[in-house]
Amino acid sequence: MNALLEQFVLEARELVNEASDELLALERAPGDQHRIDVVFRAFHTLKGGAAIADLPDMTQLLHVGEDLLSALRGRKAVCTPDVINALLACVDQVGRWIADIEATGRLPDLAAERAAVLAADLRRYLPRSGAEPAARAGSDFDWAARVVADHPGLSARPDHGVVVAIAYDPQPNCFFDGDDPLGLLRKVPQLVFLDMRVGSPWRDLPDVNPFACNLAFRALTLAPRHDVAQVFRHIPDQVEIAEIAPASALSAATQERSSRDLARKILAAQRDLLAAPCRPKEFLGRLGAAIAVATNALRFAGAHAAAARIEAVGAEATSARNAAPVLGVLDQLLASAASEWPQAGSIQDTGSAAAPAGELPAIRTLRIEEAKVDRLLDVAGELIVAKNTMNDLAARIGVELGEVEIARAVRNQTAVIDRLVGQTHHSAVQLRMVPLAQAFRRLPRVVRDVSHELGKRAEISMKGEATEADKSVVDAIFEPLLHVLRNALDHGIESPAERRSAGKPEQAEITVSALRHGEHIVIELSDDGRGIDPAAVRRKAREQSLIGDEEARELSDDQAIQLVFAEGLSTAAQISQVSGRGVGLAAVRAAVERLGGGVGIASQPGRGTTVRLTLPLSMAFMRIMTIHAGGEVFGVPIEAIAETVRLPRAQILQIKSGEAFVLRDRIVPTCRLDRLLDLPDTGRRDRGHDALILVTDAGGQTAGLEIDSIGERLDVVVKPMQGVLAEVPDYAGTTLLGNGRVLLVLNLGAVLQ
Amino acid sequence: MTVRLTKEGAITLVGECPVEDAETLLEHLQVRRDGPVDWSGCTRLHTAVLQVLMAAKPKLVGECGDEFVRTFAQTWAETPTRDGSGKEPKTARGRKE
Repeated sequence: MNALLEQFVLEARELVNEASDELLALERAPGDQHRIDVVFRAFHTLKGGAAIADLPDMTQLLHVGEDLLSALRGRKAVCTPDVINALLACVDQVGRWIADIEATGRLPDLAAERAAVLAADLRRYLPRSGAEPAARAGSDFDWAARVVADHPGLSARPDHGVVVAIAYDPQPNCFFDGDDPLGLLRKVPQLVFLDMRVGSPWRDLPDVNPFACNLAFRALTLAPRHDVAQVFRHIPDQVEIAEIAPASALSAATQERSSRDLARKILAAQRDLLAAPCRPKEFLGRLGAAIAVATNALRFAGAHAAAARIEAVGAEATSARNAAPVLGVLDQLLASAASEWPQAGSIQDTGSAAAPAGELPAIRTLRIEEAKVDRLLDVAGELIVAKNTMNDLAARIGVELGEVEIARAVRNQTAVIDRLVGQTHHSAVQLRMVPLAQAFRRLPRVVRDVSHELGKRAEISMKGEATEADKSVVDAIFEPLLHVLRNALDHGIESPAERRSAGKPEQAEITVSALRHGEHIVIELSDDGRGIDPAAVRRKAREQSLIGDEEARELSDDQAIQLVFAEGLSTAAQISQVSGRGVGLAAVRAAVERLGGGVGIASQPGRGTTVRLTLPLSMAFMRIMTIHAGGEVFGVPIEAIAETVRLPRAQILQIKSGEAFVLRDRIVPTCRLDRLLDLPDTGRRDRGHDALILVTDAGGQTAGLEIDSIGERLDVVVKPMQGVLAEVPDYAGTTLLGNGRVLLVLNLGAVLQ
Repeated sequence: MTVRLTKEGAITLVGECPVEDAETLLEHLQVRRDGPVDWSGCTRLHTAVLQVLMAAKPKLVGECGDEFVRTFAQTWAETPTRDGSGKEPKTARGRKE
């Protein structure tokens, strides 16, 4: 992928998100001119980016979307839900294309067709009039700017203010409609330039279809736009007409490369954007967009040093929340001839508001390939492992050599290294931290679509989306969150009528919140729906033999509703009496546990339900305990262990085929880890040792796991299982021990299944 | 008939060539792959006819009689060709982009 495309992909994703968010907000407040402006700007910036990245299909589609938004802005079109849907479809498509480009470096094969379909849909909402929407300095007419730049004679006529460009793409079957494209072009007054483009390459003569038009036309005329539109009035769908630029400006522009001409226009637009009044809330977003667009435009024009300059003062402006430095540089660039824009090397600085000459402000952000950060993290992790051996060494110096003094010195030094290694690792981990907003921001769209689908009304609000977690956690949390949200909408939230009769507002409230709790983040998703009936869950679990009669009686209400996470318990129709697509919460639990986290649920019948997902801040770093079972050593994440219990073997009860013991008046089922993992029996129990049991909640309910012995507690870097082993759910990953051995870390939830 | 065959085997375009001529011209060109085609007598070419000429790229005789095409639409025929009748070849005056 070339640098321009890469840059575009990064920015486009944010813009797509922004446009999508604002469109949703617009749907709730259809007359909000300000939001229309924001969406319009997002489309405009996207279109500019797509044009620079040379993605004509995407540019075309965005262009039509922009026209529609422009019509909405000018109140020439009405902002109906259908219009919002069409615009959202356009944004979604662009989002998918961005993903395609990221994966393959290009648009998919059928992009043009897809763009045409969506554009046609958007056009349905455009006001019908003879005049084409006002043309902007845009990508579609880049060719025109180039032609004008290459032909000084074109703008030699002082009597006309503008050159009018015509892009005429006749339909292949236009001859059958009685059209003669050349005939139409003959009627264009004062034509000065015509370029014929061949559609698909000519076939061999016998295969040429003489009645299919395979030509497209690009033309320039000095005639007024209105006269030109008049010629093409009966085929507005095949023609685009635009005024290119004042002829006087073009005369000057002929001195420059046409790309610079284009860049100049883009820069001027950014200056105007920044100079325009703006709400404080949006200031940073607007500033960021303007900096990004200006930088790209300058790169496009080959003025790399000028681009770097904009970036640098942009960083300054962003941190100072003041656009002045950027405006200063833009004015300076616009005031000088484009050919004088610094291309590379030293930056002459004559500006007043900008940084002093020779001093390049620090770079604001650095975009780094994920793999590089991971490599750093790996090394930092190995440092921790290496450091762990130092303590061993210190002990051996003391004990085996009797050098107590040296041992102490080594230990002290180890403590220093320990701290530094910890800091190194922490810094490396920080590099991967991103705000949860990246996962949260897609949820409002889900609420909107699903609630529409189900004929319900719901609103989502968010708290703590700035909380940061490891990128892999944030990326991985969206799916489970989506399941929980769909579940809430489907089963938790009642129909508007039902809510009315229950004395609740028709519109349901869903809240998703995140907060940091030590080394974990806690994400809670609450709804104010009908809640879960513990009796129904108990009954259902009993029917499906997930629990025994006795257990059903013993379970508290709180414990009972945790069963909705159990494999095999259908949370659908039977409990909520709503039909619909039930998404198994068991899948949510499995996904969260795979991330090293846990799930919980609380509910008040009639009042609502809260699902809580607890996740490690970072998947890279884990606190584990080593245990022995069946002659092997395993790691167990400490957070999975509720407690360890040592008890005489006689207290383990045989219940049918299983075993259990009594823990604080509760019966806890227990099993032997060596048996679960098919390991040889070491015969410990026959020698009359006490039973050592890990009590865990990892499997969704409290259970015991009998092990042989407990080893040490360690901070380790757990690497996920790879290759075929990645499919084995029993293991969370591997880690390297201080002695060089590989330790398998168990996923207790899966082991207990 | 605006598309004609001369005794010498050259194809000539005469007067206004409407859309139907495209097929006739194509049939002739399938027999005589390289033409030549004399287009000096045509006064107005339909897009479809021009398109056939662009696809076949036969030898062209004389200057196109259609002024609009001569001015704007013959860049594809830039290369001057020597005609079959021994006339001096003329350079097409297409605009070069």
